[in-house]
Amino acid sequence: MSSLPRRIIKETQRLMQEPVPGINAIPDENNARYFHVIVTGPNDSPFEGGVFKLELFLPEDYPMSAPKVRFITKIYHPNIDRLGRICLDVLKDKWSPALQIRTILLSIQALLSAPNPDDPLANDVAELWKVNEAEAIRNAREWTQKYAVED
Amino acid sequence: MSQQRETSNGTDSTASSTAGAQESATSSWNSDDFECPVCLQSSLYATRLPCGHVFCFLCIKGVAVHDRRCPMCRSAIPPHFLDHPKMIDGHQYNCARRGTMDGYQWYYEGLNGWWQYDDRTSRAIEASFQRDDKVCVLHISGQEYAIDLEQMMQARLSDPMRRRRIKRDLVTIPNKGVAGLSIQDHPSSANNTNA
Repeated sequence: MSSLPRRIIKETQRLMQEPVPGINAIPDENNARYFHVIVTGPNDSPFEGGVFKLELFLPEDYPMSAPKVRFITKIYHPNIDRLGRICLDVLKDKWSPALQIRTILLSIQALLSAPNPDDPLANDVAELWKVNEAEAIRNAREWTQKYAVED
Repeated sequence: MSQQRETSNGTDSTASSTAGAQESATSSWNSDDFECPVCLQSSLYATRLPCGHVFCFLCIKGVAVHDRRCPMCRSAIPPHFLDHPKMIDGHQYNCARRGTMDGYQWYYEGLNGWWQYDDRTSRAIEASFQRDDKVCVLHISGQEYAIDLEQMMQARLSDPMRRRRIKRDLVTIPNKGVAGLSIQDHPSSANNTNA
């Protein structure tokens, strides 16, 4: 019986008409609240060259509550755990209904450029990022090549 | 007075340029042009928070249920603001009686009287009524409602016990106001004849 709010329709249209560079979000054929997302690794980051798949779901009370977003592609990042869950304030207590799918995905892209090991989710990754950043970045590059680069 | 008006519309560059005359007067500015950052439609019963940011009255009311802060800048929404909101277009304009069709309008029951539905919802219900739909589902103030056109009831989908009677009646009947904006209430904002 549920219907799709005008806001979701409008956001979807705008994402198609004016896509964000390096970000691709396409609604699922059968569920307009579920988006297949691709984020390319930012230049000058250990994720450069990688193509990362994510899933984004707009809950029933969106935009009063935040979209649920998860990495599907494995990624070595201090704020993303092995299940792909993302530690990002705008997805939690800093969510505001004035934010949008577009702004959230831009924040995630920015998180790839600027990992924050002081606010970790994947603890062992964050630990290494703090004590030996060079090695952590090497790992991140390796994982990017291994899991996020298509042959 | 409201320097933030332009920035509050970060998603729509065309509207922010039309708001360039902000220094002169609000009367040159039509709230219909303004996209509400919550519903992404032209703002309906546009309301300006003390911080200067503008939203549909029903949108900011829906937001405040979850979080009493401005969605744009996170400043607190004062406790009684939504009982006496500051309207952009003035109270008389907002409460103007508009029969959507042959002199009728849609109403929902409140304490001691009937509220007129907001214009957007009213048009949607009328469209369903004209199509002989039994039920239509609408989004009002951040909630989903089933409007049952056989029983003439509205019910909140997330809480079906919250039911109200509805009716289609003449636009001229006595009513309480529009969508929670009371006709009795005359805040200082009614100085804009922008309609």
